[in-house]
Parts: sequence; structure tokens; C-alpha cells
Amino acid sequence: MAQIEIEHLSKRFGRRTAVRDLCLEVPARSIYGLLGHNGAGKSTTIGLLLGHLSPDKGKARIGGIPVQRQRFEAIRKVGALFETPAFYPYLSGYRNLEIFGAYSGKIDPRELEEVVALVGLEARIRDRVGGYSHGMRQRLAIAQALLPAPSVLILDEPTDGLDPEGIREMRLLVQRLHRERPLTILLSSHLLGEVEQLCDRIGILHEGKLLFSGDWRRQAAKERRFRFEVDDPERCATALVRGGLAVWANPSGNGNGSRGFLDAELGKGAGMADCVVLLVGHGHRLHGCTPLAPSLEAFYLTVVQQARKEAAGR
Amino acid sequence: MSTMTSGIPLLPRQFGYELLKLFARPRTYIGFGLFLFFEFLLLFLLQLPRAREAYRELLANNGYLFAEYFTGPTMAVVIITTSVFFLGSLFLALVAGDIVAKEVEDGTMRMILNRPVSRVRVLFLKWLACLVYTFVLLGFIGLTSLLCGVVSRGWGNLFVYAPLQGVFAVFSPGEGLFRLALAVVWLSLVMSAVSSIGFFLSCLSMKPAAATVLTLAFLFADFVMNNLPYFAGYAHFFLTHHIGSWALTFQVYIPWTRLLESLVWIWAFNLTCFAAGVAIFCNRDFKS
Repeated sequence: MAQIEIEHLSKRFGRRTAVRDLCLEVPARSIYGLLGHNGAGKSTTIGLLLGHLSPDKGKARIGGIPVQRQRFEAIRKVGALFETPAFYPYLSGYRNLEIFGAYSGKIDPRELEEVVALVGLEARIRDRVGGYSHGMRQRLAIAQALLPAPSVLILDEPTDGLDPEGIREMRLLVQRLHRERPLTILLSSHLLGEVEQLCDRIGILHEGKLLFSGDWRRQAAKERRFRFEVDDPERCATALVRGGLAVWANPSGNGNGSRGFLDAELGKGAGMADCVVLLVGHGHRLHGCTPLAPSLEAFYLTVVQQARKEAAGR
Repeated sequence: MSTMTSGIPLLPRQFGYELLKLFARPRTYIGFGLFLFFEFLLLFLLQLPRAREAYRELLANNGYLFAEYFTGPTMAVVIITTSVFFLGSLFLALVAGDIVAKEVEDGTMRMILNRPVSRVRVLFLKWLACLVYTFVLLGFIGLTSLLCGVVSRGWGNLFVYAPLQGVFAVFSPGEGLFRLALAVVWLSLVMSAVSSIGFFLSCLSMKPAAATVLTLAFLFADFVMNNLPYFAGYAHFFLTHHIGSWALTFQVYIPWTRLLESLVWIWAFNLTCFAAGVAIFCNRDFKS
């Protein structure tokens, strides 16, 4: 069952369309990654989901409750970290949690302490937030999002501005939350490596349009990619694409016909053996060939580049 | 860990936190500090020979003894009448102009609106906090003015001279204290209009400083027009005319009808500011 449903949602700011006819479903208890470059419409989508923005068209539902008509009920069990977290710097972390929590209802102090321990802020929670590091503020933001026990967690760029160690800690925290609590997590990020490690299902937004939504690994597995080790990868790439065997081919090497690698996605009906025959037939020296493991980066770039090509062709 | 507020119902608890946010913020106290400084300055200036002489002359011309009426309560009223409109307005505008716009600018409003709480409720709590601040600031001004005056000139009769409102009166110490207290309460009630303008502008999509400056600009333009002789027939349409009604509490016979008329006008104005602010804020899109 989908915990978050978006149907034909559109939003314009002046003459710019931020989100265009967006349809999306986030299954319950999944970690769904919302990907896209800056300005792709990720934050607008989240803003529409939380009721910060009014859509021009379409509707969104959380837990089956329409956000636009019953915002209270819809976001009652939603915890959110939306855009850069902000706190009252002259108050303690604990007091900040009490203040934000009070807008959701009565917060049990034990629950508050539990959440503080979960994000590892026990030692500094009584200190003024003004003295917190960026990473501590991010953790405090997660803590406030977890009060009171949400069933949906919306995290907009939770690793934004964190150092590598902070990014890792944040990833482990999200994984732990997903493991230990019955949470559906919608995670927006442009750190593909992080999303790859956290999410099976993703949505790719580009210029306000959803280009892909679903299990990216399954989709990527359909796109058969191979790495060829050859002499003169540039010429081999041209040969494979012209020969109609590869949809795309990406050569890498030192140039000047020296030995290097060629990553290629095979077209329909083409097999690895066909490629080998073609390359050898054209007189190229082939040293090895291995199937490529699917990577989110490659998948994302293929989808976005395809959209760009289509837009340029129109 | 603190469980201080866990047993309190939701709305009062949220209001308590709203006050905590307001009064834990260092800039909220700028007004208190500067008023205290201004009170000391005025006390010092009133002790200068020429100032004392002018006051002595004013009292003597009306048949009163300087020693009996140049007292602590009299000085308190002088301090309040000379400072509260311009300085008080400035600090009320500063805090009210901040109350929504600063939270929007800082991003904490976005954090609040991530929660299942209506924008109307959030604004209502903030408007109430503005009104509380108005009462606290003006109460502070009244109390410290009296304290400064009493420490400097001792306790005694009250002499009030407010030419703009046509007030010239003397009171015994007991009656004087009552009138002073009444004046401060009334002043708080009418000065809430300044906070309400600041609150309304703070709800619009603008920087906190812009809301403060526009509040003051509105108020001073109103003050100037109210004091132009051409508009004397329209005085009751001007906000500052009704704000000035507080000085009437010092008239020998308090004109309650006129006072209540101004109070109703001011609170109708306050509610209009609140409703307009809410209407605009509720239809705003929040996007950084």
C-alpha cells in the first residue's frame, strides 16, 4: 500500500513551472529517494506534500488522507526535515525540541529523551543551539522530526553541508531508524552515492517532470552494460554505436590508440558475443569483457541525458 | 529533564513557549535598556537649572508651589509623556515587526509549519505575545519612571500638564498614584495598536526591518496629519488621536465616554490588523 500518493500535481512560480503533472507513489515502510539536480522540483514537491505550498493542480495524499483538504490529519504522523533546519539559537537543544514538539501535541519527556539518545546528543542537549556545529544541528533536526513518533519521515537534503564522517553518520542513522521503527522515509538528495546505499526505489525529477519512478536496480539490470578492455577505446566505441549494437558507449583511456576501457550499454537483441565479433572483425584488439554492476550514477545520468536529448530534439 | 509544562493543556503551553521565545531573545530587551537610559538622562536634564526654572515658573503662574509639586510622581508623568509615544512606538514596532517576519527569515516558521498546526493558531499566539510585550514594556516604563522620580525627588503630589490633550491638573499623592496607574494601563491598551500594525506588516512577505520601518512611517504620518490644523475636523479618523486619549485619564473628571470610544476604535483597529495579517499569511506560499 502506498503511504504517499501524488496525483497530477503541478505548481508554477510566476512563469516558471516548478512541478509539472507529477504522479508518484511511495510504498509503506520503504526508503524512497527523490533525485534531481538543483531546481529540479524536489523541494517544491516536498513543500506541496507538507502544505507549505498550494498546488495549481492535482492532489497529494499521506496515509490516504488528502493534504490539501485535511492538512492536520494528513501530516499528524509526519516528521519532516525540510530545507535547512533552523532553531532558536539562544535556547537549548532540549527547549527547542519541546517548542517544536508542542505544536504537534503533548510530548512525553521520556520520548523526548529517547529521541535525543537516538541521535546521540545527550551530552550537549542542555547547551544553547547557537554553539552547535552544523552536524549537531542536523541531528537535532532529525530528533525534532521524530517527535512525536511519526509513521512518515520526510528528509530534504539531510546530509547537506555535512563532512564525510557526518554524511556516514546520517546514513547509518537513517538505516537504523528504518530498521527499528515502522517508518516510510522520503529522502530527497543529490548525493547519488548516499541514495544508492539507502534506497531501492527512487524518483528522478528533471525540470519539474518525473522521468523515472520505481526500483532502479531492477530497471538498471534490464539495461545490459559491459566493460570492454580494448586498444583504442574511442574507435571501438564508434564501431559499436555505428554497428547498432550499443545504445551508448563511454570510452576512457589515455587516447592515442592506447589500451583502455569502454563502458557500453547494449541495444535490443545485441549480445556480448556480437560485440566481440564486431570489434575483432574491425581489427580491434580485445583484452577482456565483464558485465557492469548497475550504478545509480550511471542510471541517473542515462535517464537525465535521455530527457535532455528528447528536449533538444523537440 | 524538564517536565515543567507537561501537565498544561496545549494552547496555554504553546503560548507559554511563544512568550519564552520572545523573552529569552536578547534583542527583546533593547527597549527596556534604552528606556532606562532615557529615564536617567531625562532625570538629569530636568535637574538642570534652566529646566527647573521653567517648571518653577509654570507652577508659580498657576499658583502652585514648586517644592510641593515638583515631585517623583510628577517627574514620572513628565518622563512618560515625553518619551512613550516616540520611543515606545519604536520598540513596540521593533518587536512586533520581528514577530513573524524574523521567524520566516530565519526558517523557524517553516519548521513550525511542518507540524500539524494551523497558521491561524500560530499567528494568534504570536499576536497575543505582542500584546503581552506591549503591557510588559509599558508597565516597566511606568514603574521605572515612578521609581526614578521618587528616588530623585521623593514622594508627593502630582502635577500634570499635557497641552495637546488640554490636560492641566493636580492630585494628592494617593489620587496621583491611582491616576498614574490608570494612565499606564490605558496607555498599554491603546499602544497595542502600534504592536498590531507591526504584527500585520510582519505577516506580509517582507524583511523584519522593513516591517518595523513601515510601522513607524505609518504612525508618524498619522501623527503629523492628526496635528495639522486643516484636518482638525477629521481627528477621530486618526490613530494617534485615539492613542493620545491615555492622557485624558489625568483630567480632573475622567471623560469615560471619550476614553471608551477611543478604546473601542483602537481594538477594532487591532482586530482588523490581526484579521488582515492572518488572511494574507494563510494564503502565502513558503519557499526559500
